[in-house]
Amino acid sequence: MAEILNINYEKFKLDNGLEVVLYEDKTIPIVTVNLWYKVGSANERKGKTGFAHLFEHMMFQGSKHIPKEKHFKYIQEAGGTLNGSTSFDRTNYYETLPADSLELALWLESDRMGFLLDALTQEKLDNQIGVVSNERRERYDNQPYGRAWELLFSNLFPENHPYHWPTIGWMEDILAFKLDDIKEFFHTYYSPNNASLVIAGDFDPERAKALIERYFGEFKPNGNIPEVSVPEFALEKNKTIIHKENVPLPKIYLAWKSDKLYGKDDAALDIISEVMSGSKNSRLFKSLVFEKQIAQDIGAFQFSAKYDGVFIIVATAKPDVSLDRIKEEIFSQIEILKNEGPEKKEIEKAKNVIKSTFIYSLEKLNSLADIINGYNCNLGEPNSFNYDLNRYYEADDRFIGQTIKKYFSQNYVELRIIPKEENDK
Amino acid sequence: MTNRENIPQPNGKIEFHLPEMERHFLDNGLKIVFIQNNKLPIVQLGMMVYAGSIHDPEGKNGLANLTSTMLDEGAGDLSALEFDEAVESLGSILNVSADDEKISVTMTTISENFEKSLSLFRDAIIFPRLEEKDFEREKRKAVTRILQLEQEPSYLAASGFQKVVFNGTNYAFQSSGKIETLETVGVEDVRSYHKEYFSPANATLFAVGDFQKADLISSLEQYFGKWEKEKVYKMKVCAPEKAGGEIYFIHRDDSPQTEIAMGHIVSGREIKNYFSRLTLNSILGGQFTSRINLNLREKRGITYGAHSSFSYNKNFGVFSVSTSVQDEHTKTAVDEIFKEIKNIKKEISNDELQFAKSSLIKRFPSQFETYSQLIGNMALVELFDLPKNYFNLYPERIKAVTLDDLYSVAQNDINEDLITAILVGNKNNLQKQFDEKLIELKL
Repeated sequence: MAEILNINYEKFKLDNGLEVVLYEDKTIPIVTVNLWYKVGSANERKGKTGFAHLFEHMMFQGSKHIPKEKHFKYIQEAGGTLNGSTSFDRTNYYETLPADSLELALWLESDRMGFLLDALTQEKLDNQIGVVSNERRERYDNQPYGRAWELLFSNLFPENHPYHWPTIGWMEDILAFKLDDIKEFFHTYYSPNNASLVIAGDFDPERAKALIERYFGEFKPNGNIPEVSVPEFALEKNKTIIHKENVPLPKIYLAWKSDKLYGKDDAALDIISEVMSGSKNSRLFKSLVFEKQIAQDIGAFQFSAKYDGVFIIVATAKPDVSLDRIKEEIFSQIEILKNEGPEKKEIEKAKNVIKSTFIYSLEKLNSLADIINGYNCNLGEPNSFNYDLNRYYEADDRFIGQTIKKYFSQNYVELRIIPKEENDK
Repeated sequence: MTNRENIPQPNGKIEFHLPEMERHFLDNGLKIVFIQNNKLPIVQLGMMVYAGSIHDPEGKNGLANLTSTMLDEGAGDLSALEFDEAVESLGSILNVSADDEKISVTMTTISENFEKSLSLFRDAIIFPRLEEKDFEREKRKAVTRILQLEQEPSYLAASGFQKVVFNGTNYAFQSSGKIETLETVGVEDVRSYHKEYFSPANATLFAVGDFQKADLISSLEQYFGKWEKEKVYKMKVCAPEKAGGEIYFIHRDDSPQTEIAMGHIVSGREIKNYFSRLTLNSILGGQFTSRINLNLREKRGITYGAHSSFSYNKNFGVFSVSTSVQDEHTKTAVDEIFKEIKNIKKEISNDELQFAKSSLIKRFPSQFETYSQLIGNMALVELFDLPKNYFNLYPERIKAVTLDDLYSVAQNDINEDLITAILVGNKNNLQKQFDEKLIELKL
């Protein structure tokens, strides 16, 4: 198994600091270009949120040599697909194309790295303010429970913490985007030395290297990329938020500060989430959904990112069941886990599931390229599948037991989303 | 300075070898369609049983879906929890689902656990326990799920659309059923539904991945060979009444956007017009750069996205447009969609045609990348009885589409007078914008 996860790659850096990883796989004649900018909403500040995500839109609005809408047109005409996504810590852009069209993707990606601002206008910004505000409405404001995550994060993380606000940004900030602010943000973060480029699939590496040098080599690095400052914090007491909206059933969310991505407890926390809610036999699912049938669904997640992490448990109450009852049962299960720890068998099973997930993740070129880029950006080593998997194997039952005690003895944020007409139970 | 003025041209030649779909019948008549692919140590199996929700008896909508959810709630010698434990211990993933025409069971496993996973997969399909206490739990879950769905704009719009546009057919209902119909379903209904529809003559088994052909067939013969052969089923046949021209609304409080679903039925899937419709739709609303999305999103900024499609079931086809728009711009969005539909009947440029064809043809190899895509492609051929060389001829057929073909499908297959629109949003807001009578729709 270790052999399959050991990928062959070539890595180098251009003089301007752009990191490049090449991974060949000629199974079918497609090639994917995956570019990470190490900028996300964590690089924003209060009152100016949503910038990194806005760029995920502006980057498709054309640049000096590419008219508006042509970015999509050229890729689609060549038979490619494309997209981008924004998280707290990074923005990624990718194109998957027939193998003969690698140069097209590099031309497009490099043009918006080097020449986006030449073509950025107030008119384009106004249009995308409309689109982004409608994205916010469609995905969050007009969805039942859609605001849950931003309510949790903004209540758990203090105001000066980089994860205090949502990646899409607050609506009032979106509606107030200013062209000059946006340009400034781009100047600061979208330079070659703040990016990592992965090319994966069917291509000729020598030709790829020459093309990368040709299209990206002439850009200047930016020596002043500000560090993100992350305050230490602990909740002084438990915090409860009641949010009323148009939902049919009440839902409870519990959030504890946890460990960051690749922190020493991160893998153990993933295993704990699997033990809590990963299957029908998991602790919380079995008790609340299967046996007592007081919850419609339940999930436990370790959400970890570059600077911090949160462990979240979320459950929907069955009709006529109070959230107090749900909460009581969740905590009684946590108590049992704290006192007795999970069984060896449960941990083994969780590790099996995680191992298979690793194998299954190799199937799709575009997601594989993204994983490789993540390893390169976060660990400095693209070939980290085995390292990553071993983190889980090294977490033994004793360590997992300690981790449960450590994190679930802390104060937490409790969010209740309840139907408009109901009282708070 | 690098010269960036010119669009880079494709370099080299694409050599794509279509994966070979092979077929084999077990002695009991079960059809197996498979693609061997030994790149990764993974096998994926999919059983498609022609027992979707259009077969729900009258007044028992949701039965097919409930039957599907019961398949992995205990099977063979194992209780629900034991079964789940067995699947998980292998690191395998078992999924069950139901749509209008079929119940699907899929199993993904690493190849060293193939035989053990196959045994569990077989048990879920042939020997589910279907016990009373498991049934009651799953039924409560299904009922509660509908309560949740009833607050989701996209579910409301889709349900409203199905109800009005597919009126008079069994496609008019959501597979998940309704609360009042689910309440009439008992465990005996599930048992008899399973007995009636689950048989080798009414199913097709798909396999993709890391195996040798002879081994696969002998394993499948071992696990599925004794599945009893029973009567052959044909998919239900029906045709919706022609309707349309009305605008309905479903009231949903506090909606900052209106969810819109509009369209009408068209004739069913046929080789002769499938490719023309696909190409036309690619220009109208099938892609990001299509007319409708560029208008509503990139020009007006009133939506995050808008799409149109021709989609098909065994009995008929549907032309539809869907989007979610800022509440105060609902009327504009509906008007603009109508305008785009009228315009495309009058004018399509050769550039648009060439662009759409290029995109569809060149994207073709990437439709054969993942196991799920491969199973989906095999299932498509089986479900619609497409010719065996369907995929071999796909690029040529797109290439052959002409402007006349596009005008022909635009003018004959899309009729704005027959379009029904469903709007999910605030009643007051919608009534203010639409002078003509909006009809309130209750689901």
